Amino acid sequence: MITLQSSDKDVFEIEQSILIQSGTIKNMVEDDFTFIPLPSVDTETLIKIIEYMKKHADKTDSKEKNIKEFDKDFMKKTLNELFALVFAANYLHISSLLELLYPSIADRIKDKITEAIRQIFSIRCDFTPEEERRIIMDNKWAHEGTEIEGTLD
Amino acid sequence: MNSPYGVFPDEVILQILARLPVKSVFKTKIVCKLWYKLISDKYFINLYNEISVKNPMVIVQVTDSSLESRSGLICVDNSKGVCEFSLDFVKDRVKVRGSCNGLLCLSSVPDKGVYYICNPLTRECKLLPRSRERPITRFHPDGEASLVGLGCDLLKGKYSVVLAGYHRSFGHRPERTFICMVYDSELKKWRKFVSLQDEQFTHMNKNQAVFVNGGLHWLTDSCSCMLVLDLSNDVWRKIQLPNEISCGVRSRLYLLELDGRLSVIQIYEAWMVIWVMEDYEKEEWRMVDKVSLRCIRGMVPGIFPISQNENYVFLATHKQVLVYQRNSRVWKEMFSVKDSSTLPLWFSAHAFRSTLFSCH
Repeated sequence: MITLQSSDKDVFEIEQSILIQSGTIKNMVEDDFTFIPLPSVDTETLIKIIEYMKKHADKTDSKEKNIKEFDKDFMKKTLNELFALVFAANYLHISSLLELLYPSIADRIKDKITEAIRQIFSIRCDFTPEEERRIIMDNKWAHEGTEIEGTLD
Repeated sequence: MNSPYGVFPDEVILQILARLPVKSVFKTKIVCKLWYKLISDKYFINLYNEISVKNPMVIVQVTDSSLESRSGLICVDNSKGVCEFSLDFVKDRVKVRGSCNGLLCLSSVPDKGVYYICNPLTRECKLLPRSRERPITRFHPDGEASLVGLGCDLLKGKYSVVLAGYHRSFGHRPERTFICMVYDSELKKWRKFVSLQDEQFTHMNKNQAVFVNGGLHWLTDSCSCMLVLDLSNDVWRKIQLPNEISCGVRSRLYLLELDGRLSVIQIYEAWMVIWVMEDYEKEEWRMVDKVSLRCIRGMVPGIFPISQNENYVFLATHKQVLVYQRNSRVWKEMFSVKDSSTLPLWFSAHAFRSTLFSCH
């Protein structure tokens, strides 16, 4: 059994066989760590990550359809929750979860207007209005069509 | 760039953007200077292309009156469904002659001998220079090349366009002289060479050129071999198909790509058999799947496989585009035309991928 500690100092005891889906944890276990602090993952997110790994630990053929249904439902979260998961999955090197998250997040943001994207990623625009106009003119066709104003999904 | 979770690592941003449709990728260029730089960088373009290569699609050229533009493409994606692209940006009436790694080779309908290369998603278009050789319009029959092939090397960022065919001869039978013109995108020039061939090609043979291992491959009408042009040394050769494939009783054969390798799909009676050339050097083939066509029995005579990956196969009939999921063994109709007077969909269907490959 391995103990994980979230940034909120909550601890979780999980079997090693389930946790090795995380490349990061696998490396630490190989170096004989049994207590692994995760200062960048909060409790809420860690619970979801553990839920994912538990479901994916048993990959026998009969469970495949089940797992696909689970994955589909698992992605039905708010954009903020998905971001928290992508940060954690990136740090923990859980490639199968990342492969699920990337297209799900892309799908949520693909129709949003530029300003909404900036707000979501907390980016400040550093183009001058003139530069922005020039880039839009270069790719006019890309900026035509309806877009979503809101940042929330 | 701060968020409640900390700074977004560049890699995470790139991986997310690499899953966006091409139009959205271009829109996100104005988010900020860093994103503009990341998206324009070769690393991102290669990443984007690598991911789309795993997602083969089908494009069908339609001149449906229901489309706003005169000539357009219907693009069918396994997970995203159907969308339309107009070819109006080409500013000519064109016919799709070849498709490879996101680029299309188009021939002008009113002007024989005029060819374009375009990326229909980024709406880049390049008119190919006229070769100084007149032979392009001396091809026989129709003044057009029999074989048009497009080979796009994603890693090297270059492409070749092949126009090959027999010359018109004054005698009753065409000569065996096979003229081949190749356009090199790096050298921006055409080159010509001649060989002797006797092969004939069906419509589907011509539409299904496959570019793997630096060569363009076509099935021939005889169905017993493939004609291959090695673009590194301009040599034509033949690859014989194994007996199990070519001697099938009344079976139809189609040449497709499967994850970077040559694949032949055999359709006969109530079966679709998928073969892959596992070893290119040794020309060893393996049967990958044998699919029962029982539940689409009525469609079998008029069904044609167009593109595939290890998980699914796209097929086209007169009026529909279907997808077969190999894992769940489920058939699904992705697209159908209502108008019965259009040309069959399979007639102008091509395998396609959405890449950021630039034709310039």
